[in-house]
Amino acid sequence: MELIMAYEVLAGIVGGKEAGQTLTDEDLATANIDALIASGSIKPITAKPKKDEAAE
Amino acid sequence: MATTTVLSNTVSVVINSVDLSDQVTNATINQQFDELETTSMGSTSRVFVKGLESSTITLDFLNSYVASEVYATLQAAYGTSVTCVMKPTTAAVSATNPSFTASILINNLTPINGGPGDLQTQSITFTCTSTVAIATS
Repeated sequence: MELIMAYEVLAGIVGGKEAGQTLTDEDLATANIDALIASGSIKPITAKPKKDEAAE
Repeated sequence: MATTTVLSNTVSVVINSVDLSDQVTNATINQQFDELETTSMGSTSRVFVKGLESSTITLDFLNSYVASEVYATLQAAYGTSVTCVMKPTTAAVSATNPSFTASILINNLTPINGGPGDLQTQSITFTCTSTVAIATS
């Protein structure tokens, strides 16, 4: 099952979301996520199963 | 006479998905491409054709050292290429508010700059490592 990562915005405005809001790696498709984590902008919070539309 | 004028105090600057607009005091996109000379025998003037795009983006920043601001965002990306998106205003992208997107190489920073009583600032010219893509929707 493919997992999709989620991230919490820790400060500022990241990917159009404010502190406390959640982003997914799809929201950050063009971003350097490692750099965002290293800078304290976001933190990974969970891994959710990706919706498998083909199975529905 | 221009039919519309735009104040530049609403330019939106997002680097690596982080909105740094409120720490930018000046923003410039310089779109250019190399010119390749094709002047040949019989030419009556120098002749050039378009080469590869070699645009630059110059940004003046107010230095700030907290998370999701200038220093943290740029230092963490130092030595890598990240996406920079700029718009004339913070409004949604449209034909009258196009977005300009490019990959920029973070290859120079000035994390300390200023004397006693000065604001800490840095003016950086980033080399684009892609074309500048313009979107209107």
